[in-house]
Amino acid sequence: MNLLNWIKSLFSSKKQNNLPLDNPSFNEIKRRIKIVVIDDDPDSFPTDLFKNDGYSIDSLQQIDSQILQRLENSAWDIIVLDIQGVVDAKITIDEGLGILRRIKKISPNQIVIAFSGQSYDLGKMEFFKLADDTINKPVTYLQAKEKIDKIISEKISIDNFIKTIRCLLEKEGLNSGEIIEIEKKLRLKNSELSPSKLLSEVKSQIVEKVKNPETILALVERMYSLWKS
Amino acid sequence: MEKLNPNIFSSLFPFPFIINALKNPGALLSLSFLCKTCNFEDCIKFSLCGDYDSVKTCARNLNFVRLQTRNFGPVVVFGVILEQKLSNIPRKHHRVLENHLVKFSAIRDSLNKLDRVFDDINSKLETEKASFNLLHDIKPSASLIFRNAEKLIGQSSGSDFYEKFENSSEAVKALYKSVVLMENRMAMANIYANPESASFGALSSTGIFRLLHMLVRTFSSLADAKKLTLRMDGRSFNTPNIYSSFLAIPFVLIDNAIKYSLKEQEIVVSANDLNSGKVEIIVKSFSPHIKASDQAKIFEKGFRCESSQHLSDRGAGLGLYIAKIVAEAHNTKINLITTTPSPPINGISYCHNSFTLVI
Repeated sequence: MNLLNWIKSLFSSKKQNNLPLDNPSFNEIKRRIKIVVIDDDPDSFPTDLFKNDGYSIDSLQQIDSQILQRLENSAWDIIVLDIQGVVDAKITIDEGLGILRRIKKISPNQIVIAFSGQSYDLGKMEFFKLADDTINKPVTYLQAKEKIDKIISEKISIDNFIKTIRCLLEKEGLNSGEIIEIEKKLRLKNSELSPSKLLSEVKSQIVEKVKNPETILALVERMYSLWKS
Repeated sequence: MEKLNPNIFSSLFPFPFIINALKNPGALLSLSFLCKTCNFEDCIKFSLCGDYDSVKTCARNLNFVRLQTRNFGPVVVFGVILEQKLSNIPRKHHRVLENHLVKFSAIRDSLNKLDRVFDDINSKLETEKASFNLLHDIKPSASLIFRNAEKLIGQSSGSDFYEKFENSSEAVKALYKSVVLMENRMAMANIYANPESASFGALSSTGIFRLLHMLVRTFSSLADAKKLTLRMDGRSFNTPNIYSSFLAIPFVLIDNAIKYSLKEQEIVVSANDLNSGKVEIIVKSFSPHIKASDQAKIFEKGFRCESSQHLSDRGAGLGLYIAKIVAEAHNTKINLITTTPSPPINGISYCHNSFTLVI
């Protein structure tokens, strides 16, 4: 290998070993992240405008057991949740609050925005306090967009994902040494392996050490899909 | 309706009582020394499942009775002498227990009176709640108006919503600005009903100058209609952390400035950076002089000074009260600086009023 190629190889290996794998713009991140709005009133949230603006956003009117499972498994990066009329009573009698409590218990770092016009109601304070943020009803597109964009800028980050994964690994009983090792690999530090091979190794390690790895694996995949080129 | 807090009851009910298996002194009659040293607690056990209106005698020869109330649940009055004669109590206790000789009818009357008072309070609270529920019922219709206004904007040319808004007709822009005003007013109603909601949601670092500029643009049509010049001033790049509710403060100040300014005058909204990342906001207008004695009162619920009432019969005196709630949620305070009042114009003295706050 000549001198020039040797120098090039140094740079290319460095590029491979550090996250973010590429450096997506805000617009690219906003296209990649998944948002779900859960509200029985389809006109309350300006979903169509978000879609037109390039956001990846789903709209649901009711939560059944299948959707609940997806919510608990962090299928969406941001959940915009109404307080009433969105849940089958067989799942919970506490409506949106019941769902929020369940999500926060299983995935405390899941971002949930309380979307309701009932912040005046003293009896509903727990819903607003438990959520990560609030959007009042009725809401204009510009106001909703400002809120969502702020959350994307401030909370959708590699650090946040790794914090969530760390939390779940701790719950699964891994010790701090094992967690640090996994974390280093997730950040793709100091390795000669390609990112996809490194992640494959991380996933195998998680499957080996964790009793219920599905949620954590889904998060790892999600993190990788957001930041990979 | 939920049962009320026993602490409210204890400040109003004259006799010693048990609620939720806890002994409490009465507002007039404290616990007798026999009750204070008692380990039998027959009365507490009875409070959990005894018959109503049936007078019992405890191990210390004192009476207790369980009564039903509408607003407080089951109440046991204990440590009193109802049916037994005082002669059944050892003579050495007579003097101190004389005050504990009470009539059953007096106890019943007290409870009935309290229930009537709280029925009245609850009825008023239900009426207030019904008003807010009515407001809540309006919100889906308001959402529909918002979506339709946005659809109209969507019909204009442009690559994104902002561009389409700029390219929309003046009528459509005015419609959307009205929608934004409606959105903010409804948000303020929530804060009025539940002041704690001023601190709902996450703190977020925000460009104050941009926020105020958006608000000035929103109010521009209203200002134009009154031939007022509404403009931005200052220089600010700091991004302090604020709640979503913060918008209510400049909203109220600008709204009031437009409502009360003398025609053809100027309203200046400025934001200037201070040290340590803070921003000073000032809303200055030429409006009725607020006398010194009223300057603190204008932030009280329902207060409107004389000149305000004279100028406009609209308004419930809630704007600055709500702004104060939001300011407190942000650990700041709104101050008022006035200049010397002018000679009266149509019976009202005007001056430059500057509402300021630091965030």
